[in-house]
Amino acid sequence: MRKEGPMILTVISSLVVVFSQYFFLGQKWALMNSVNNWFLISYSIALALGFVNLTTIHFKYIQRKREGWFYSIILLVCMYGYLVLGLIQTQNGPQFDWIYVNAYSPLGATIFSLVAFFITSAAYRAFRVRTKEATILLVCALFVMLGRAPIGDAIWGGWSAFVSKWVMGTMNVAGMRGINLGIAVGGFATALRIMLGLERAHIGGSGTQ
Amino acid sequence: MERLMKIDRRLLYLVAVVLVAVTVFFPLGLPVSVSKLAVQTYDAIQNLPDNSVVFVAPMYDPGSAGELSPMLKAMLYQCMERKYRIILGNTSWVLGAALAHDIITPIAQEFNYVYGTDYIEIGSKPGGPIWMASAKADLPGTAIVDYNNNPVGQYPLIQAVPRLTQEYVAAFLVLDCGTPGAAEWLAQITQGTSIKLIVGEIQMSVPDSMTYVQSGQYNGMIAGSRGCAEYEQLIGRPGAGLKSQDTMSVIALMVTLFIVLGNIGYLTRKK
Repeated sequence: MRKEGPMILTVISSLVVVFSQYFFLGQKWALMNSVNNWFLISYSIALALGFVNLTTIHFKYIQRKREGWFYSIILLVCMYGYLVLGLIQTQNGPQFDWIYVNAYSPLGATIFSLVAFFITSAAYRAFRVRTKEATILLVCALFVMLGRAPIGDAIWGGWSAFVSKWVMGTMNVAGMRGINLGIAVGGFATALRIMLGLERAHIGGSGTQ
Repeated sequence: MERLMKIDRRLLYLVAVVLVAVTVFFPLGLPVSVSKLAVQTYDAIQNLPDNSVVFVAPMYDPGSAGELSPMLKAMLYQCMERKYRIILGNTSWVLGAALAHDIITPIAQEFNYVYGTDYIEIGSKPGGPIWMASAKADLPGTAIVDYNNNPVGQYPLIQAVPRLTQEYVAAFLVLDCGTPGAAEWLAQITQGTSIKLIVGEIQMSVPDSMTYVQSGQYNGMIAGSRGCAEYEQLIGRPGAGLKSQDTMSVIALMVTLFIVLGNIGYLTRKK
């Protein structure tokens, strides 16, 4: 039953969603509202589950003194310290809020800012005219990059903006729509397989049947 | 010449830092032309009916604040100049609500907006697309409390907007940097309704979002910091978006130059 139970739950849940979305009675009974509420509650439970899971994993790292175990201590101290502070002060507590805004926020901004440097370096190392395709990619990238900055207008007048707009609005859109349609069809097929019980990777099975 | 292929990355970083610092202190003041897309975006917001309710969703975190916070600021200025009522809130982007709080508070004071009547901050809610769908059916029941942890049901603005449907909301302004983002608001709420969906995107997301603009599913888009600079000119309030354009220019030029140098080195070696 360890695998059948979750699979039966998955099938029943998906049938309820289909019934509430595609059938008149489902819409009349506003079944979807209840389903959404179930989801929000499950979401919160999953968060607690993640908390327990993270604790178990990092506790084991510390016990076995694995490489980088010191960082596990930092993680657990931050996680539980912040949890306790939040429970005492609630989400609007001054220190609870201060730590989030003044520690987490700058850290997030710093990490993202570093990406700019990596992109600069990666562009220099990766953009080589090795093949015809790579050359086309390089030329397009340069036009779009310069076309999106005022310097492009200063160098080529309206031409860089025109080329940039054409690449973004014609070539890019054609490609992106194809990709998006492919993703949507793939998503639908996967959803159908999960509903029919053919896809079992999410319950720890071998994947497909 | 082969050395041109192997320029130390630390030198690239150093040049980038110096160029950014120089342009911050000594701006070039290059003119920024305004695109049709920026005008379309400006018009989409400007032409909403008087006294409209707009839902502003800052779906981002500090990593994208450099690009999206100036957009949010500019959008709020335009909305308040038009005297729209504003519901500010998001789902799944916790820090977005905090960042937006710091932006909307001084602007609301400037325009004498009354909290709870002219604008409200419902904060950040968990649940992503599911929260959106729930709020569409019952906003006060799903938002429950505002940013300051007070019950939302007591505020006249929320009483006037029981659901996120076209009868109550004229537009969604979504500042978007990932998932869940504008595409989820489209799928859950605005698709098939008369509600306008206007987005502000980080440059990285523009290629994907361009497809929605062309199909008419997004009624406007501020495309990256360049788009923000254009939009700031249209609302007549030059801000951080416009200031960043000189830095954008010199970095774009620097990257182009290094790519050209690298390729000269590559072609020389090939021969």
